[in-house]
Amino acid sequence: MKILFSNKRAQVISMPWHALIIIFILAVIVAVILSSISSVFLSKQDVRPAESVLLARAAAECITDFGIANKNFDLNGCLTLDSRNYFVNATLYSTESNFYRNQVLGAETIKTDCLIADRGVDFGSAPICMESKNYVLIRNGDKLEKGILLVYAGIRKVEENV
Amino acid sequence: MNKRGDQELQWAVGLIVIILFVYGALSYKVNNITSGSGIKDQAVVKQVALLIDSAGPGSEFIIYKNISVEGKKVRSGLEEYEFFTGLKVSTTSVEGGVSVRVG
Repeated sequence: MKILFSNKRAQVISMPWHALIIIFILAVIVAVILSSISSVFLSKQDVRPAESVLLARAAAECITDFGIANKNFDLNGCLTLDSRNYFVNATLYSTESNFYRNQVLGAETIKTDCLIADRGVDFGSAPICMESKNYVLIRNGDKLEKGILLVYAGIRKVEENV
Repeated sequence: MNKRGDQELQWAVGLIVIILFVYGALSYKVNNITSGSGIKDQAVVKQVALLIDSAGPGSEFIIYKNISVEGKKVRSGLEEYEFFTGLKVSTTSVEGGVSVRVG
């Protein structure tokens, strides 16, 4: 392989093959280091999985007090959600009677988008959703009934996290 | 030294110069990427928002960074992030940072 090497007297000298191999290895190392660092530091940190867990927990805490659920719960008095970015669907039912109560807060389209994403359809604006199941006691007059509190929480915030 | 030895010496010196240059350029670029203020601001506002959301009433914590809370958003530099807690959030300046009080 001949290349032009400029020094005081321009001359044509041959490039040793080991030099070519060293330059190639160097280029590969640089590319690997830069791409791995860029993928970590230049990509946005997606905190929605943690945030959705906190949202579901906050909703459950609104409804229950030391494990005893309030039959007449109202999430509006406890959570003030920006309807575009948040979604909460809380369902409380008794396993011993026919008591059932459900309340939805926020943008219901978030749940639809999550269900679509769960079916494997890849689309850029998919929100993050999670469902929590809590075993609770429901006060019914003087006695306590066993019940289940389901909280489905979803967060969109795509631009900030993806 | 003969002509072939001369050429090999030139290539060896050239390679050392190239390696040093690449090492310097790489260090500079990596330092630029990892110390970017935008990255730190983004991480800080999100982590503070999560802290606020997970904090119970009466919680107080100090962030050693210049952040502000406006409405339901945490701001630092050009970055901002929204939190959802229904509790009142207030901030006071302390030496080297900001004290955030929830509830």
